[in-house]
Amino acid sequence: MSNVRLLSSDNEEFVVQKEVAERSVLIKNMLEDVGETDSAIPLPNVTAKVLKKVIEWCDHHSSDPVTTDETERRTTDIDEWDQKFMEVDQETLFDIILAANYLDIKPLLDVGCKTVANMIKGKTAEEIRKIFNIVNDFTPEEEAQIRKENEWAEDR
Amino acid sequence: MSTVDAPLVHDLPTEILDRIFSSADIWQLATLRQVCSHWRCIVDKPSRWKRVLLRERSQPRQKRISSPPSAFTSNLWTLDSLRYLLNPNLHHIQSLTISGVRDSTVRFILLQCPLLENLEIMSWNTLSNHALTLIHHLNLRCFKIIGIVDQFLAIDALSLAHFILFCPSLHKLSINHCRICVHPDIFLKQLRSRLGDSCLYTMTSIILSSLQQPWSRHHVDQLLALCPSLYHLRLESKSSTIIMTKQLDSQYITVTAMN
Repeated sequence: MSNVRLLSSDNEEFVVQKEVAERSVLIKNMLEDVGETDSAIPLPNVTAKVLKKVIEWCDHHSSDPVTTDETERRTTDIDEWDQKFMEVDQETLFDIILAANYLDIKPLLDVGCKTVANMIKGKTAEEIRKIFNIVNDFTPEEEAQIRKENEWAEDR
Repeated sequence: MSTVDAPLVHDLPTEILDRIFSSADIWQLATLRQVCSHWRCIVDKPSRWKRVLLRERSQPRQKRISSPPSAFTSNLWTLDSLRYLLNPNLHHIQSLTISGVRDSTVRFILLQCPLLENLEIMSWNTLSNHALTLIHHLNLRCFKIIGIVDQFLAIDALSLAHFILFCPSLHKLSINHCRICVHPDIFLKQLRSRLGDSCLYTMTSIILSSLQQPWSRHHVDQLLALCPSLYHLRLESKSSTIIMTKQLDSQYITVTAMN
């Protein structure tokens, strides 16, 4: 089993089994393009802290069958190991999502998105703003419109 | 989770927020579009509203204690709920599936969704002619009513004929698993008199099951004359089932069974 060297944006080098690294479609394509190489693959968008997490995930899931996306996306179930893995602060969670997006690791991106979706579930708009520190940027007119719409929502 | 030092949700690109929102149900979407203008914009993306699925009306919030489902009526959608959930995006809806309907909600959907092409309705307590009373032409191409084990559907021949005439693009009409009284003579006479020399040129498939009155061969011939493009017809009554399928050579294969 050959290894691959990955270089984080803050210049930390990680040595990873090729099959683990190839969970990333970006890296897989790069390796196919350059062929056998001794030089480290630079990942300018991912810090060492996040790359370490991502590698941990890829390592755990290295033998997963490659799923054809879309079908499982609708459910919000997350397997137990992934749930534990995602018990991180919001900043790290968003960093993992961004890294999964950049590295093109669809299943990890899905787990991240589902985790955020679960944080939103069952919350009011005000509660969601609080959780994610979002500024309510509606104009007074739009606010009035929202209040009017909410009057229709009986049982709330 | 920390809530103070994490102002990062806005750093997520739109496509990722879009992905996050893709698992939200319709009640959640209504909440999400009230969070901020950026989220509203993502929620209101037209493609998200092209196909809308409204399962039997559930409680909007998890924490709300729901009353036990004693009355059958508790699962029906109300007009207010539909307005709240759909009003901002009515003009994007092309296909809608809804279960738990009543006259007012069906009528609301038919009259307020200008681009609606496919409508599938399931389960009701009572559903009558009022549901299909139209005031303008629709773009509807496919209309399906699916009952639960021969549920009664109080739509008569005259109203059904009127409805069909108001849907000049209708390809497929399917009324399945519900008892319905479509008197063939009244139905055909109404269509014939209103169409004059014209026909229902777009109609390709008609399914009417659990008809209270049986249709005769003569009625079927009249219907085929009114619908020159028809390639599938299924008429099912207590006493007989007629299934006709058009072949490549334009001949119909007819299966008639006595029930």
